[in-house]
Amino acid sequence: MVQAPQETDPAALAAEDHALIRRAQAGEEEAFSDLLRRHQGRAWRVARNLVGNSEDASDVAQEAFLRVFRSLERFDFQHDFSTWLYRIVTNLSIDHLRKRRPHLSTAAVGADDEEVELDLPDDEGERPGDALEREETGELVRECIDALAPHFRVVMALRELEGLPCTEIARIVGATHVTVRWRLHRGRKLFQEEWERRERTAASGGNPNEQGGGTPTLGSTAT
Amino acid sequence: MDPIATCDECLDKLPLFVGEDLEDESARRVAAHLKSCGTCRDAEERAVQARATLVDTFELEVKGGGPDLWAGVRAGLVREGVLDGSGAPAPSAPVLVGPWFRRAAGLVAAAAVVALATVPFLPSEDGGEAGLVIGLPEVEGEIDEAPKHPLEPWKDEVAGTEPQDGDEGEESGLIRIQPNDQDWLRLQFEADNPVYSATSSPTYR
Repeated sequence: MVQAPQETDPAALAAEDHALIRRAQAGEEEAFSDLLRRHQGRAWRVARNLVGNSEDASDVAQEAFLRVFRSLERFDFQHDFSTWLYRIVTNLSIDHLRKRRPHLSTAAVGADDEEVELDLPDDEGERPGDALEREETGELVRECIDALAPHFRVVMALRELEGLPCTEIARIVGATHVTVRWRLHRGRKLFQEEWERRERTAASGGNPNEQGGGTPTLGSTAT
Repeated sequence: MDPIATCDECLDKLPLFVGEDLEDESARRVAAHLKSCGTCRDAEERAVQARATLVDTFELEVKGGGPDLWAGVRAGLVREGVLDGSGAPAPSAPVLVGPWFRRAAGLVAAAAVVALATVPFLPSEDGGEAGLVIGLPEVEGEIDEAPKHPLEPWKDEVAGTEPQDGDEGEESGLIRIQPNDQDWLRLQFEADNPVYSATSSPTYR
């Protein structure tokens, strides 16, 4: 079994991916399973940040690899496999978000309560209230993220979590470099405004979700 | 250009500045401004905190990673008949069919369709004109099913194949057969897709 690649040379990693794809195209199931295991972590991470819960993220990532397999024979070896995979995952995640009934996902992090608790570090010296506070902060942040339009979320997840450069993100989302930078700029600004608004409301004892009919999707009319 | 940004410019560029996403010259100008402006430094601190909170949450949510997806993916492929339950690809597994085969199949299919459609309109012995017109430019852009965006999947009107990710529609062909003013047949191809899309006037036979 091949785990996530340890090498850091992108060219070497891409070459290894291409070798696996060629073997998979020749009918080697093991090559495809190796390819999947090299990339399943990043596929799940991006989906997790976009769709907001682990179960849906697993479904999205799994469907992404099924689509990869179905289209593998048409893979263009001039491109990196990871770019293609990110594109499929982000498109599926956006489809998922559009199908999902709009709601204020106060339970977005709560849906993973157990996992979050299990994942908390062995908090030597951490006060009992710290974990709770962190969880509450996470819920508040998730609400702000969920309030952003999907095209902002995609760019922010790929940049902030995956650390991809804007040029790479542009290839993934099929937009220009300038558009990606604009979405990143606008997304960070909208997130900060929403985050500060909710913090102020929470500090004053109010309900952060109350602002005359619920939180609209931020930036939904922007490109 | 002034080597130091104004307050408005600084505040406008802070979202990119805090993520080190500004170009070098702009970043230098903003940094120079921040050295001398306490108000903008406060704004920068808030932007840094908001971004750090976001990144921390992203990282916390994915801590521990996701599940191993292979079992589920494999089960899906077995259900589709692409893999058999024993671990070996099924005889008809599409993965065994290379891109060259699909391109060739597409060209053969296209040639066959064009040949069949053209025969009735070949020049007659009395000197009638052929009705075959290929690649009329005026029909470009009229294809209702053409994707508006490179990521938007194509829709096949004939075979109804499920759209695949990676179909960018950048390489395509268009053939229009029009024997007279009323009858026409339009065929559209993608380079990597042997399945063509065909539309015709209601009277075309």
